[in-house]
Amino acid sequence: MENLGNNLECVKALRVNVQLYENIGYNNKPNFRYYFPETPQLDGKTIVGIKFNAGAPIAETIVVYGRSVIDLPNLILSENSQGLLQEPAGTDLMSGGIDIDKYLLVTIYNEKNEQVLANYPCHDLAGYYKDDLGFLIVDTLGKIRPFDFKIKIRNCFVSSTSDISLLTALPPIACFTFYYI
Amino acid sequence: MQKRPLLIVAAFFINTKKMKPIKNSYLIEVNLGSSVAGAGSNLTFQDYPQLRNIFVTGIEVLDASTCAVSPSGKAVVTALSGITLTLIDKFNQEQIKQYPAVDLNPEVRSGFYRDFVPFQLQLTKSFITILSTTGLSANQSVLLNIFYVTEAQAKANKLQ
Repeated sequence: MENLGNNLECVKALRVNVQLYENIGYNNKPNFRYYFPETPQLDGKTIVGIKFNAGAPIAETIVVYGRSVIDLPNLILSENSQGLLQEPAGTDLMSGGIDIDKYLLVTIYNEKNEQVLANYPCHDLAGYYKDDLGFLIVDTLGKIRPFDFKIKIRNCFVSSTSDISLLTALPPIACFTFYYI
Repeated sequence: MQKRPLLIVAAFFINTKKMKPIKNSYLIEVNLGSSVAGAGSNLTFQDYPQLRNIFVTGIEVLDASTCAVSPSGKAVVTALSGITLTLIDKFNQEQIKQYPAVDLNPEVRSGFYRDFVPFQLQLTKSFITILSTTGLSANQSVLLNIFYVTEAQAKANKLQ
């Protein structure tokens, strides 16, 4: 079961960045909502996978070009031929051992304005797991969480369960990759 | 009635061929209270209106390494090894009984979540059991990410 992955294949992928806050200590209270920017390419599309890009860009490269639970040839076609995969934001939320993603939740709405993912932990979308020695690593096999719903991106938001501005001096950007058909 | 075992076997093979995509999810929490309940105690879930009459398809139990603070601001438990999960369906049957919570944590299971053959969950009668208080502290919460389909989705997919 695990080796076969999602039974829906993605044909396109798109990265969407969410600016969490811009000023230290300002507008960063727990449960404050940071909405996704307007992304009309995604509205009404069927989402079959979401990845939270918390790791370094090299880790994301491994996931994208390694074996994946989604249909890899189509993903590469999407990136090269249609140019839908944006450049990495370059913000590594996990650098310096600051696991900011442990404080972030994402809420996703469908095209009927229904919550389909309510407070989904971003860390769980990042593809991390512990190896036999207990170290947190990125899965090179690409365990992207499989989903199946149509999205309305303007209603979706990221929230933090704690004041993460106390953890980092840099205004972080939450970067998600949506795999869709 | 005689065809029921065949249907169950068929459903088993259908469900094990591919990883089931997640239709809906909802993050719930159980707080351990101002003093951690003793070993053998059952802690029931509170009522979540969104999770009434749903068919559960999978569950994750999360610790602090995945989600450090719950949405209500409580610290999340750091150890799941002394906790089990029991899920009751709408017919008051124990569908999942004393399932080790640590086995439902995807971070220690190579990133996979456990998916179940869907059944109609009765959340308010379901509970976690504290087998050992080692590593647990007062006011900590256990987080569960429930994957489910609604009743309408279940009818559309002929799960009922």
